[in-house]
Amino acid sequence: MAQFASDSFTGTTGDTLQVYSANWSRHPSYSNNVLIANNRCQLDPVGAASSAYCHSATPATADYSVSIDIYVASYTATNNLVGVVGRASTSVNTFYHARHSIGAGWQMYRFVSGAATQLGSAVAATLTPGNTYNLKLDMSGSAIKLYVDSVATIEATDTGITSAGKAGIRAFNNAYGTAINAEQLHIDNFSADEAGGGGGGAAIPVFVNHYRNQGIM
Amino acid sequence: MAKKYYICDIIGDGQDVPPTPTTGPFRPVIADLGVSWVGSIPSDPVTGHPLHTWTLVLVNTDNHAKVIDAKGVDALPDFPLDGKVNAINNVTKSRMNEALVRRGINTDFVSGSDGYRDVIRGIGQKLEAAFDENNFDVA
Repeated sequence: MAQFASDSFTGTTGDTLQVYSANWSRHPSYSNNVLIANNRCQLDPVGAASSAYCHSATPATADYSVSIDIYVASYTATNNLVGVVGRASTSVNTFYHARHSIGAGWQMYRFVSGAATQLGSAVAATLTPGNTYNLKLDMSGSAIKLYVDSVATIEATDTGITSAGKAGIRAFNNAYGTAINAEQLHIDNFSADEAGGGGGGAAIPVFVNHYRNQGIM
Repeated sequence: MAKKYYICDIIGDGQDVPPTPTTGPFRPVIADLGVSWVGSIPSDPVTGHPLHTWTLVLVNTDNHAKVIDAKGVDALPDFPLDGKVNAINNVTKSRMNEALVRRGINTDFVSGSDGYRDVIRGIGQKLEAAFDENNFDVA
């Protein structure tokens, strides 16, 4: 039930996440930074890049959830994506990953040593600039689920990663914009919660492809 | 919408890039068909590469025709899980066995199965020993 990590990214625009807070460490598999931007955070937008960070808090077990709010500053660059990671190794590029990618929608992956495997159906969706969406990755044993605004949208059964690891964030973008910008997808209100916790969505009945059925995609 | 089991090839090269038929994340062929599916791709714990070249998927769609026609996909008998294997049409059963053999799967467990549920469980357990058809579902 307990939240074991959180962050609202209230800081100085332009600071890297690791300068902003000692709670954040850039994953050694990535060389690009995430920056504070307008009291949220985003991938350093200069050049094509990807990045991932782990929060220093250690979950008590491997059953927990990781959530962020995604603020849509603009919605134009295909493949710009933001998301969360869980059960993340701090040494190799291994974790579960839930994310939104412009052009591809909601996706859930398992990364093991950098090799990506898709978990469950991707769910196409177009987000609205100016709006905020809550994304949550929930891991309970082999049940791995992606929630959007508290609605279970993708679910999979997977046993590939069983260690508790760390919770964190991940982002990718093609080249766009300026360094201090108001573009693309931003990350806000990071939360990591032990199993059964809140952090942006209680466990409710599963409505996979809710968005498709609602005609949103 | 109707659910149906398939065996299908795994495609991709494990890169986190927009998928093409040969690149992108490891995924079952049907992942690119725009249908709802569930399936499991066990991987090598060191390399992250799939342990098998195929996987079992359950697809929920109102257009199974496009799934059946896809290259690298074999439909399994559209038959109740609690039905008896010996009640499955012989031609259909032969096609299933051929699809399994083509992927290097020993079919002894099929002839030894009483119910179709045992066949699905047997196929799933070729991928993961803990496979449970009761927890293998797609909405």
